[in-house]
Amino acid sequence: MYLSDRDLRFALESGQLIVAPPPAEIDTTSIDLHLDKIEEAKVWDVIAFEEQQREAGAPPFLGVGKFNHKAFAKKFAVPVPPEEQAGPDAKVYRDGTRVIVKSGGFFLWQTRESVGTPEIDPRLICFIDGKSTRARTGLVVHMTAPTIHAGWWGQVTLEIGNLGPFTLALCEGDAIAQIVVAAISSPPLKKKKAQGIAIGQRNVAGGKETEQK
Amino acid sequence: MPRHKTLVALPCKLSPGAFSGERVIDIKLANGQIYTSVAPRHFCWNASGKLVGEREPSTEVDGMVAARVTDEIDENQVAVEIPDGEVIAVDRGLVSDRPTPITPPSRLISSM
Repeated sequence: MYLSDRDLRFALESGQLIVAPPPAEIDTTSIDLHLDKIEEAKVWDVIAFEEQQREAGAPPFLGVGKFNHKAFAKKFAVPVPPEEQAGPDAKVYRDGTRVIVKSGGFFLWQTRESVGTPEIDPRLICFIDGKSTRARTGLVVHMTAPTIHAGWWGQVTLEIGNLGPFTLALCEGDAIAQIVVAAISSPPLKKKKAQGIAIGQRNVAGGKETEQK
Repeated sequence: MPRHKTLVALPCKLSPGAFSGERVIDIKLANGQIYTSVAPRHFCWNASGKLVGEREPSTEVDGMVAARVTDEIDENQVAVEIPDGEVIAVDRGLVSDRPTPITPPSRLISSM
């Protein structure tokens, strides 16, 4: 069951829903999320990645199943470069306080708000969504992993793409995403080992190790 | 291991994340493998037991990450949920009390 504006307000007031800084307004069934400081807009340094692959004698593509957060955060996630530093083929660059996204461009930008639910006795789950009016421009936001797991909260990293024909401009503070919130039917058991998908087990029935995800 | 508590901390390696609000965590699993993921900054402590600051760490360091015990696997292992939502199996001896409580942000809401 999705929460209406009155239930969202009650959830915020009771601490069952965390949105910080607090929202200035609540829509009928959602709360807007805003883009954080422009320094938090990041692009992947594809050229650096391909150079590394070449030097290692590896093919120039990324094995998604072996995606390494640490290596990528450290080496390849870089601030969106100013226009004069971006290459001629760059589809994402910074123009003063705006991030310009050409058709086909993709980048990451953290939300200003920390969003989620408290660790103790969470009863709600949040989903990130785009905003329909913005979507018509071809802007896609957070398409793949929209769930904020119950019991955790934090700033959300938006995966932003421009699938439309226009060149788009985005600024700090723009409301380009929203959360909708649903009640969970009962507290999660989280006994994944019973389903054999907990990571790193060594002494479970059968003595079979579960491979790292 | 703390008794009667589900809110715990796990030792980990902490590294800067791609964003100011996240940190990369390396956790040793019960099978000896290393699990790497990201966690919100406010769920991470430095080696001194303080929640990490906005520009901390600048390189890989020892630290701790928040977790919740979800299941007792056997006498040696427990299953814990970590901030990316995954449940992992770790050695029981790694699980400890949290150095400090983690307090959710203020419940106040703007005048609407």
